[in-house]
Amino acid sequence: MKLLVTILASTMSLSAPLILAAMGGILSERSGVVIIALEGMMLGGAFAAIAFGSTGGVLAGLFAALIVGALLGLLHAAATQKMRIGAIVSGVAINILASGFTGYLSKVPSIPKEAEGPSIWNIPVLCNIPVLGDVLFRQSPFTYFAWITVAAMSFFLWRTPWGLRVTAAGENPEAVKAAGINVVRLRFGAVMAAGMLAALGGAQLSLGLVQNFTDNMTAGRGFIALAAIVFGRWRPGGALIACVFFAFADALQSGLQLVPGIGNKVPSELLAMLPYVATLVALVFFSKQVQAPAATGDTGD
Amino acid sequence: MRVLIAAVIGLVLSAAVIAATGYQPVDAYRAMFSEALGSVESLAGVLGAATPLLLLALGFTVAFKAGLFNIGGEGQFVMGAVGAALLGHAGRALPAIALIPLVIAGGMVTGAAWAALAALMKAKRNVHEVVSTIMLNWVALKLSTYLINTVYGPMHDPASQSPQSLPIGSNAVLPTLFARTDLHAGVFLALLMVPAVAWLLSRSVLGFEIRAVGKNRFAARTYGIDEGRVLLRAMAVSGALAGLAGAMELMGVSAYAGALKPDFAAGRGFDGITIALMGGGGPLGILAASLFLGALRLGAIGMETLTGVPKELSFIVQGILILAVMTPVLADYLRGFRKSRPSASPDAAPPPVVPPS
Repeated sequence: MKLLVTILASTMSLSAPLILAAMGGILSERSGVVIIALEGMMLGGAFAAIAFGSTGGVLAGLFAALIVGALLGLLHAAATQKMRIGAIVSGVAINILASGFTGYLSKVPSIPKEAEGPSIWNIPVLCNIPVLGDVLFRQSPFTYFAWITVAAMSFFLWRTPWGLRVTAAGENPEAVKAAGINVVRLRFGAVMAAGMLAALGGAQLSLGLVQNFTDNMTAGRGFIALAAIVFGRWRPGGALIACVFFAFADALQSGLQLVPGIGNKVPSELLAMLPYVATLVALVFFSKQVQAPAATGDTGD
Repeated sequence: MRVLIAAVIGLVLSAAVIAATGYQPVDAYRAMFSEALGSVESLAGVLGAATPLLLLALGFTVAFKAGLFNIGGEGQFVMGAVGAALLGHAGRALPAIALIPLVIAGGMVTGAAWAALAALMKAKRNVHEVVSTIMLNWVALKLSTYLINTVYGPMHDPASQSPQSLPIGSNAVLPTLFARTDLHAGVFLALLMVPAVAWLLSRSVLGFEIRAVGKNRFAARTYGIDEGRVLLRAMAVSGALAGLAGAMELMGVSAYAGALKPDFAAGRGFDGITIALMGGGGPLGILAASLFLGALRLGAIGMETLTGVPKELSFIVQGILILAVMTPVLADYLRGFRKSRPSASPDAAPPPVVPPS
């Protein structure tokens, strides 16, 4: 029982980075820009949050992550919309750049690799509910923020003029242009916001979960978030469910390693495969019918 | 020309990074160049470092021509080494003439099978290969670490305290061509693959089908090409080349001595993508680009030892390179300088007319 609560509670905290990256990804892909750069954006955010959070505190770390995310988004938007580079090529380049920069900077002696993260917020009253309180209401502020983002993204995409324009830009950019709206500028905004959200996801991973930075610590989570978008059919609510599912697979594998009957019998490497295999299986079951926004991959003019 | 300018842009921007982090760019680059190109030994080392990269890039290209973006080279490379290690140990009593082809086949078949998984998911279930190959990379990484784990790894060599697999038969260990470098006899096979892949893509039926699907899968389908089968075969060839790279690295690099060790792939699967993009899809361009990236990697290691500038700088150069090389804007700009020579790339040619079969 105690183990189950631990697994569920860490499902919640592990889902936050995925949710934030997935919400960013939805925004970008809805606007018509494929974004496999999520991985690099998360990694950049994870690094910046620690490097600046160690001296300036949590807020400075978050601010730095947002800036790095926005810059990487700017690069991706410029590459795809202005320099006419294919979005997948640009994404691969950004992932390599982020891995190179963070790997390089983390070896520079004067740059800190550890920082104190935000403390857990115990939501009054609610946190005292048995089981549910421990799972849902004793979490890092990041986790609450990630969940709010889902609702905010739903509202933004379907209920605001800007959101509807973003969606339209991904489905029929010509029509949006004909309506006198600057599609390229719209996409710059969407991709930069996507970078900021993904970077916040990375910050949760480093600053929120482990308080340090290790090389390539995102370990494919940007791609798992991408899979969650496919699985959720480019909808915030659907992607949320997928993120929680993948986070559960992750929490389960680390939880099971602690169970005496399993942890010492099943090799830890095989358990560690669980999130990746779960992602593959989910994709095999859910990719067939999905339809990406019509204009994804189209570059600027 | 375009690639050279891209390389200069990459090196200049990286010099800014070096200076901004408090190191001396001039010293760093001097160390990098002398380590990569300063002596016959370092040139041999570059060729050795380029050997697996060349194969990985050729593999990426075959899939790319079919319209597949295979970022699974890393996993296919590792799985190729796993297959090679398994067969190489099982057949250790065989003479070299039988064992060497067996180990190579082991690498190619497991690499091909690992890549085919992603192609199957793509053809049958519409799973995008970019996500599936990344996931398969991680599974391959965890699987190979499990197999050589010191306590329970089924492939672990009990004679060793550290994680490593049972070694392949000594008959299959390729001779080092130049002492203290990674240049081994496998380089000949890798070089042989350059014309082989060129032939496959430009002269064979499969190559023709691959290009047709890559240019326009709908048109190819209309002309009776079985798109799914072509994707599967292109991906299998792609994975086989990556697996071959893994097998030969295992057989030839003296640091491995025929045994699979941790951190085997070390990001080289991604280098293959850079090289293929830099080389513009042509086999000779790929050969030149693999030498360049081999030199960059080796030089960066030397730079770190001599001046302390982290070797990860080479990844920063690499990322900038991809963006610079792939910018048509840069090409347009260059074309403005050389109006006399219109540079019609072969890829801009209209798709070939396919006779209905």
